[in-house]
Parts: sequence; C-alpha cells; structure tokens
Amino acid sequence: MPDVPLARKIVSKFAEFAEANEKLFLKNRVFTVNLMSSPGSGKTSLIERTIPELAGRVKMAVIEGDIETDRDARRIRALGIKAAQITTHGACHLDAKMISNVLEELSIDQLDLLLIENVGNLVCPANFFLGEDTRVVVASVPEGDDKPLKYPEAFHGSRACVINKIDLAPYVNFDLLHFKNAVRAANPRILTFETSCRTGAGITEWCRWLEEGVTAKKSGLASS
Amino acid sequence: MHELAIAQDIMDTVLAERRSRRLGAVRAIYVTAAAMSCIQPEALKSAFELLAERSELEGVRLEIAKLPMVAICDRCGALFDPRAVAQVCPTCGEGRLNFSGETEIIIDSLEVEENA
Repeated sequence: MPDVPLARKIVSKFAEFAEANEKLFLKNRVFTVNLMSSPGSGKTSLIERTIPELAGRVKMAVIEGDIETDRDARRIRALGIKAAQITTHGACHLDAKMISNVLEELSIDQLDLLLIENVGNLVCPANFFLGEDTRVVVASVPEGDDKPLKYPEAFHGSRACVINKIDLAPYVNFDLLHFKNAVRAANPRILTFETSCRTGAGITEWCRWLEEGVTAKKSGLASS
Repeated sequence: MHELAIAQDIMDTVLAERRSRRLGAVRAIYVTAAAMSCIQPEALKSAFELLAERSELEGVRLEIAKLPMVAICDRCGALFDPRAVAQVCPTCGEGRLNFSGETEIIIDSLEVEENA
C-alpha cells in the first residue's frame, strides 16, 4: 500500500472570508478587535464601559456573538452604538463567514473601531481567524489565577489580556502576580490591563490602548 | 466542539488532492496537530467518521498525532510538560517558563491503494 506524502496545511474554508474581511477592514481603516473569554467574564460590560469613554473621538460598532438571544446587542444599542447580533445556535465560536454576513448592517466605511465579542468560550474561538487586527483575551478574577495555564491557546494568540473584575481580588483567592506569570508563560509579549467595570478602574488605560490601535490603523501601521 | 469544521476541511483537502493527483482509493489519512491547535483527537476522529459516512472516504482511518505542549525555561532552556510544573523552572529555580507550540494542522500523508 503506497504512502503518498502530502504535507498540506489545513486551510479552513473560512480562510477566504477572513481574508476578504481583513481587506475590507484595511480599505476602510477600521481597527478590528476580536474579544475572547469564558462566559461571564464581563466582555459586554467592558464594551459598555468603553463606549462612553471613546464617545465623540472614535466612531465604533460592535458585533455580538452568542449561542442564543440578542440580549447583548440590545445592551449595546441602548448606548446609541450600532450592534449586529450573531446567534450561532449551538456553534461554540464565530467564523469569518458569519462576520462577513453582518458587515453590511454596520456601515463599515464610517467606522474607526469594530469590536467583535466572540462566543463565551476559551477554547475554540482561538482557532478561527475572523480577519481582525488584534485579539484580546478577557479573564475575570473569580475565574481563578490559573486560567492561562489551563487554556494557554487563547492567551498565546492574543495581543492583550484584560484582567476584569479586579475589584473582587480581595474577596477571592486570586494572586495577581501568579496570574501575570502564567499569562506571560503562554505569551511573553502580551500586554495586560487590570479593569473593573463596576468601579471603572483601568478603563481609561484600556481605552487609550484601543485609541492607539485606531490611530495606527488610520496611519496604515496596523498593530497586531 | 469545532472539530466538525476541521474534519470537513480535511475531507475537502483529501478529496481535492485525490482527484488532482489521480490517486487510488484512500485507506488512511495521517495528520499532525500542533500543540496549540486546540484539537481533541478523539473528537476529530468521531467528526470525521460522521462526515465520511456514505462518501468515498467512508471507512478511511484517520490517524492523528497531537504534538505535546512544551514549556521552555527562559533562563536555562530546560524543557517541561507545562501542565505538570509550577511557575518557576524546577531545574535552575530561577527562569520563567514560556509555552511553546504552533497552531497548525497538517495532513502529512495518505495511504492509498495502487492505481486509480
């Protein structure tokens, strides 16, 4: 039985959609961020905090990925921001085709920033490139300081890590140094932000970083 | 959970390859999944079996080699299984550990029957 060497890298059938999205974001100079986390880490709350902070300076829109319901998109629209809801009906991640399908709703040519909130899941989304400029992993304090060791893939591919619900650190067993070491083990170049959507701590720093990304994209120096 | 999508990509790649190179019937597909590929081999096998049913790849063996994740000490270069060690290198006691691993999935080879 002959063995036929192949050495073929698996290219997802979504790769062409991802590439088309990437080109569209580049053409329109829209800085695009893919936010990944476990369910309940506060991605939507972080976006809700980000909107007023950037209001008047950055024109933004949001894509919400959930398994069911448009609850998250309604939360964003309540703040006067365009939001497209993708309901995956069971699928554990967003793919580039789903993104491509909703881009028309968002008047992409008028945007500076597009935030994509992925389905709450720390495993699968890391495997699917959507055409984004950068990935951000959000981890919240009550999830525990060993998350990056348990789910290194999500941290490995992200440019930044938002450590959310930082105000809860005194009440749960969360060692920030331990967490940061673990994050850097998965990704030595990752940036970290410590935020609380309840107190507003760290939101300014996080938004400043987003604005830097927007500026870089506008000038043609997309950060990744 | 996303293994179904990857199984479909493997099937599409193999079928296209078989057609363009006029290969005989496929018996087995050998795949290497890198450490950070987020693949669970058993789930990928089940997904593949399901998709291959009643196709020309029905009954084809999918062999998956999943490469282990490795932690490297940034001070002394010692290698470890990252799931088993602490934050600090157990060999030199100083260096920090960095995970290493690629994300890709590669079809290494096919086992095929003689002539098409």
